Amino acid sequence: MIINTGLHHFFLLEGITRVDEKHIQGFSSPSSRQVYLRIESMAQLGAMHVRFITDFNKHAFLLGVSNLQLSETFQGNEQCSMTGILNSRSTDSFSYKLTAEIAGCQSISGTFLFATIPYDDSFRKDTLQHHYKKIFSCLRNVS
Amino acid sequence: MNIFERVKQIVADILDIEEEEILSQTYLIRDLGAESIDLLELAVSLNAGFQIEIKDDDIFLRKLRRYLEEAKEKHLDQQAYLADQYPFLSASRIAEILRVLEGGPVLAIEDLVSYISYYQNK
Repeated sequence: MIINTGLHHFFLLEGITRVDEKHIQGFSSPSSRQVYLRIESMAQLGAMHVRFITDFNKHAFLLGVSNLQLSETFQGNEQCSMTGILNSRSTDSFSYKLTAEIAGCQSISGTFLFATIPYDDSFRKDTLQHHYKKIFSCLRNVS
Repeated sequence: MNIFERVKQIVADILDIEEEEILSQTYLIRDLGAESIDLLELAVSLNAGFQIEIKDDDIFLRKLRRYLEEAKEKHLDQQAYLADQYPFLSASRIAEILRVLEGGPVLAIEDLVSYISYYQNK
């Protein structure tokens, strides 16, 4: 069965402008203006940081979002800049404060919890590790 | 607030239960119904709350039954083998774990407290 989301590869991040062990900054496409797509962009940024700090050696996924705050003025087709701060972590789970802004005004923030699992038959290392390393490299080169 | 009180608070918050339901000997999975997703959330909360490195496999005794199998295969004493793997657990607690093993997952609140206490002082 093929589910057509209408979103090519469903990748909303357009660039990563800064990354270190605790922080990540990036921006997403102006076309992803709906709130749920903005939140998905934030999740993609956070997951990319998890992969970065685990050296792309594990499969990363979003477990949940809490404390989500959305400003009433949030709207517009402009590029969305995003910031992620790693607040706490264990070997397998990672908690981030992620914020998305449009034109300098805070628009969405929340606590995003990610987890990692070893690659296996469902999430194959030979495919996914290379795939995400390549995407990460491309996103860094865009900025 | 001591370690147990703080752990109790964190666990109650994550599992959405009353703190009064949690005793030192309460089993996290058997008694409180904690699921793997809860443990992942608990791990980051304990890291934030106590500023120590949390190794999920160790603090949640994830490999306990594998270690017991290994000890058996290597003809080693199971209690001593577990003591090597989990230095934060007391000999009496390990003996207790071996006694109640058949009843299901053995992870108790006191094990979390022991882990935190051990690594805070290390």
